[in-house]
Amino acid sequence: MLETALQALLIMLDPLRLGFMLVGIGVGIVIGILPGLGGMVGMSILLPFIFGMDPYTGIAMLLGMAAVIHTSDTFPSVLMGVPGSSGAQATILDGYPLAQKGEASRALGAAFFCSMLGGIIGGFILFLAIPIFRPLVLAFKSPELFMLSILGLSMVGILAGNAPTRGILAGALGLLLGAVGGAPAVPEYRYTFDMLYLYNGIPLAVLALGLFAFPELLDLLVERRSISKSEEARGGFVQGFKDVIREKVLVLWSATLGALVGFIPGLGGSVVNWINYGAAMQFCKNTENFGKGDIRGVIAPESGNNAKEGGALIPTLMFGIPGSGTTAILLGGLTLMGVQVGPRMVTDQLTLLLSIIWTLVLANIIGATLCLVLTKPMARICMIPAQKLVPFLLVILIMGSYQSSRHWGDIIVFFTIGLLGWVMKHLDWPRAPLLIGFVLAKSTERYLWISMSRYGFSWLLFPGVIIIGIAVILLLWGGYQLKKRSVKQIMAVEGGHQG
Amino acid sequence: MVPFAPGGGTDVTARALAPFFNKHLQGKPSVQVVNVAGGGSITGANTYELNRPHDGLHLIATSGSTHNPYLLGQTGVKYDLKKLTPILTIPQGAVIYVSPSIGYKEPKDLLKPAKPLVYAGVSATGWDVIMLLAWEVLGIEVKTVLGYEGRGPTRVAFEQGESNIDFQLASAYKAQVEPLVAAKKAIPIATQGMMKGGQLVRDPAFPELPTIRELHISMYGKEPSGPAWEAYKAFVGSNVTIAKPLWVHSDAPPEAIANLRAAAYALSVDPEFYEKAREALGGYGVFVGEDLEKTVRDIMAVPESVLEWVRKFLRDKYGVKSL
Repeated sequence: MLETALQALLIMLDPLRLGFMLVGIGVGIVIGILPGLGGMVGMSILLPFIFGMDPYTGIAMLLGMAAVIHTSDTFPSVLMGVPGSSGAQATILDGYPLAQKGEASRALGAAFFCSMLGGIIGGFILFLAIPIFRPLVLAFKSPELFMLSILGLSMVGILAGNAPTRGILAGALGLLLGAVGGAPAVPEYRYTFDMLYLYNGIPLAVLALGLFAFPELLDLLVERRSISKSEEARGGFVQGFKDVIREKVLVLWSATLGALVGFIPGLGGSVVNWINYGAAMQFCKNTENFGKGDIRGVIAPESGNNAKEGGALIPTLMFGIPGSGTTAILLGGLTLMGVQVGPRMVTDQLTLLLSIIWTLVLANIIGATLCLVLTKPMARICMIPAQKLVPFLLVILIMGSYQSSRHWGDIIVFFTIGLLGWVMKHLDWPRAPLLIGFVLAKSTERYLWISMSRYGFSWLLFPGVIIIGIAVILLLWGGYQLKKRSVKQIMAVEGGHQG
Repeated sequence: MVPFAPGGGTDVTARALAPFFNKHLQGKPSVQVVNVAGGGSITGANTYELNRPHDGLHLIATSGSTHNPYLLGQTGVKYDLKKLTPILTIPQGAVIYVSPSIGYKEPKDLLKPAKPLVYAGVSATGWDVIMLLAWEVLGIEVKTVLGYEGRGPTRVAFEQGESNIDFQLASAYKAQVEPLVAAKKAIPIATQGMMKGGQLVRDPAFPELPTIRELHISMYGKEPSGPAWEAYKAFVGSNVTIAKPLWVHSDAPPEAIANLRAAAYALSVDPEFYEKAREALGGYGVFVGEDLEKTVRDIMAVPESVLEWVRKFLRDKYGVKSL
C-alpha cells in the first residue's frame, strides 16, 4: 500500500500534471471568490477539456479546482459578509464582524491555515476509510438517513440562539421553501404555479445569496460606510496562524466532523459548515462572543468545509453515488476519461484512488498558500466606501444568481428572498435555520417516504435509528441548557451590577 | 443541446460524440455542447423546439426522461418528438437481478418466492415504468417502493437488503453488480430486452440472458399479450432502444440533414470512435440510418389506447397525479 502511495505521489508531481492542477486551482480560487458560483460551475467550465486526457491529469485539474473552492470562498464571506459558495455561510457569522473590527487579515489568515489543515485531514480520512468504505455506506439505510436529516434539522435549535421559537418558525419556512418544485419521491410538482422555472425548485445559490448577501449590501448602502468600521487593519495573518495552532483540537475534530458529514449522501455540503458551527458552540467554553467576532467561529466551519470534499468522495468513488452536484459532474468527467468507479477501484485502480487523495492534499496546500498571498490586497477591499463597492458587488451577485438557471426567474427570486432576508435581519429573526430547513427538505421527505413505504412503522425500532434519535434529544436538551445558562449568566451580571 | 446538467449519462455521451461529429461533418464545424437543464429535461426540450432555429445547425440529445413525459402527455411538455428526425442513437440495455434470499431457480419461482418481492425504484414515470409494466405482464406480486434518488441508491438498497429485486443499466451492472454476482450475492434473471423490427429480442450485450417475453413463456407456456405487454414494448423502445438519441428538427434544410446522416454513418464505422468512446458506449454499437428512423417511427406510433391504458394504470395503481 505504501509503495503504491509513493508511486501515486510521483505520478502527480509530474510537471505537466502539476501544471493542469494549477489551472484547476486557479479556476477554483476565482470561483470561490465570486459569490454565487460553486463547484458545479467550475466543473462545467473544466469538463469540456477533459475529453482525451489521461485520468491522472484530468483528476489533477478537476479535483484541484474542487479542493480550493472552499479555501478561497472565505474571501467574500469575511470581507463582505457575502457567501462565496454555499459552504461558506457560517463563516460569515464571526468572520464578517472580525472584518468590521479591522481584523480581516487575522480572520483570513486563520481561515486559510485551517482550511489547508482541514483539507489535508479530509484526504487522510479518505485514505483511512478505504478498507471500510463499503460496510460504512451500507450501514446507513433509509431510516438511518432520515434520522441524520433530523439531526441536521435539530441544529436549528442550537443556531437559533436566544429565540428558539423564531428559529423553529424560520426552519419551518425553510422546509416549506424547499418543498417548491418536484417532490423528491413521486412525480408531482408543488407550488410551481405552472411556471416551468419552478419545476426545479428554488436554486440554493440564489436563496443563499438573497438571504445573506443582499441584506448586507443594502445595509452598507444605507449606513454609507465601508465594511471596516475602524480605519487600521489590525492583526495580520500571522496572528491568525497563532490562533489556529492554539485551537488545534478544534481544527481536528471540526475537520473530522466535516468529513463524516460530507460522506453521508443527501446531507450535503451547505449543511456541513452549519453543523460545525453549531457543534463548536455546543462544545466550546465561553461562547458568548460567537456571532460577534470569535475567531473560533471562523476556524470551526472553515476546517470542516474543506474536509468534507474528502468525505464526499467516498460514496462517489465506491458506489458511483455522487454526494453533491460537484461530485456528480466529477463522475461524468471520470466516465469520459474511461475510469470505472465502483468496488473495483480499490483493487484494480488503487494508484488512481491514491492519486486522488494526493491531489486533494497538494491542491489544498497550494491553494491556501496562494490565498495567503492574496490576503493583503483583498483585505483593502474592506476600506472602500460603500457607494463605490455596493453597485459593483450587486452586479456580481446578480450575475452569480443568474448562473443558477440562466433564466430571469433567478433574478426575481434573488430580490424577493433578498427582501425577506433583510426584513428577517432587522426583525432579529435568525436566518441560518431557514437555510438549513431548505437544504434538508428534500432528503428528509425522501427518506421518510421510503422508510414508511418499505417498513411501515417498524423502522422506528431499528438500533441505528434509536442511537441517532438519542443523539438528537441530547443535542436539543444541551442547546436548551446552554440557553438557560447564558440567560442566568446575563441575569447574574446584571444583578451584580445593580447590587 | 443537452437538456440535463453536465456530468449525467446523456451529457457524457454528447461530449463523447461531439469531436467525432466535428471530424466527420462536411466543413468540419466546431461542435459545442450546451446544457439547458430543468424540469427533468422538459425545459430543454421545449427550448429546443420553440427557441432554437430550425437550421440544421442545432441538435438535441435526449433520453428516456424526455421521451416518457412526451408519450404519457405530462403537463409542461410542449415539444413533439414526431417533428424531430433522429440522426443516431446508442442503445442502453438493462439487466434484472434478484437476491438469492428469494430462492430463485427458475422463472416460475417468481410466482411463489421464498420471501415477498420488494423493488426499490426512482419514479413511476421514469425508466421504472418498464419494471412496473413487467410485473403486470408476468403477473407477479411485487411491493414497489419508489422515491429513491437514482439508480445508484437503488443498487445500494439491494445490497443493504432493503430490496431483493432490482435492475441496473448495462454499464452500471458490469461495474457494480457483476462483483456481487461473483460473490453469490445476486442472481441475474433476465434483461429488459430490446425492440428490433417490432419484436422484443435479446439484449446484444447479454446474449445469454432471457428477456421478459421468454420468462413469460417459461412461466405460462404462451406468448405475452394484452395492453400491459403492448405498453411494455413501447417503453422498452423509448428507453432502451433509443436510450441516447441525437435529433435534428425535421424541417431543417434537407442538405443539412443529409450532411448529418452521412456524418453519423461515418462515425458509426470509425474505429477511432469505438476506441475513444468505449465508456460512453457501454458495450453497445451505434444505430444510424433508415433502420433507426423506422424504429423511432414505430415507437412513436404507439396507439393512443395503449397510452391511455398506461396513464390509467399509473394513476390507479401508483397514484401518479400529474397525468
